[in-house]
Amino acid sequence: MVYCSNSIGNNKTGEKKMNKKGSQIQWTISLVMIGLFTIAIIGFAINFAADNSSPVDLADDPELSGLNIDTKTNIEGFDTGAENTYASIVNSSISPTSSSGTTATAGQFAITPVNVIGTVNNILKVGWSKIFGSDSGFEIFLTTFLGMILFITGLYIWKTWAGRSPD
Amino acid sequence: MIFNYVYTLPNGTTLDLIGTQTISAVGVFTPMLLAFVFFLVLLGGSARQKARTGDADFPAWSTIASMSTFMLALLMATITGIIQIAWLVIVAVVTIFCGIWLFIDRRQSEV
Repeated sequence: MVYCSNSIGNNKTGEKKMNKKGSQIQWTISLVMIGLFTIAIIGFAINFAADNSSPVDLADDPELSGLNIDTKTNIEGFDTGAENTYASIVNSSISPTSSSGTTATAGQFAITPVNVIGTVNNILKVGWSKIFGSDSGFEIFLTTFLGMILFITGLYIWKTWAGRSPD
Repeated sequence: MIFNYVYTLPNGTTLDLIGTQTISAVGVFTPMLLAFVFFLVLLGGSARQKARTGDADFPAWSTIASMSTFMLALLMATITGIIQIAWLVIVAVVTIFCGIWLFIDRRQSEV
């Protein structure tokens, strides 16, 4: 018991975490993962109740059902948002401040066009539907994951080009 | 009767019926059982990890503990009278909050 209370009262971990450097990509991944986790937990509970004809169903609670729909909308919005962000990063330009040969657009760094990621999407979709079935609610994970890869790729391109820390 | 019980003793023949009667007699049984499982996994897991590695990953252990509790609560929801919707909602919300803690805590390469 003494050992347990020591391990709880110890704030070494907290001090270490406070010094940790936050970053844009880390925060984006965290927020997307939180959304997907919420969808997974609520969706699993509702489907579990439906499959087993449970008398107590999470879908009976209107606020959690509403949260599920709202989070799904946000995550699906992230997918389109990531594609638009990627396009705007690739099309953006920085005016050279000196004659050191700064490139005026990030297009040269864009080695992963959207169509290539679309190919991966299609390939994964086939495998996914063979394992989890078609029209599965889990499809949101696949599309969001690919949207996240697109978003991070765009950010890496932009940060490399603008000379920022790639985090 | 030798003892005067303050609640009605379970008098069922099936396990489900005994469980339902126990919980209807002692209403706090369900939340206490869920809390027991949650803290058993959280404290047991983190204490052992700390003993082995010198540091405990509390966000991860709280998520594992809340998901264990969540699975137990879902199984309890398949029989009438074991768990109420309010407790199921609380367990789901605690699980989601533990997940938020976990993902905010992670670095980008650790999720």
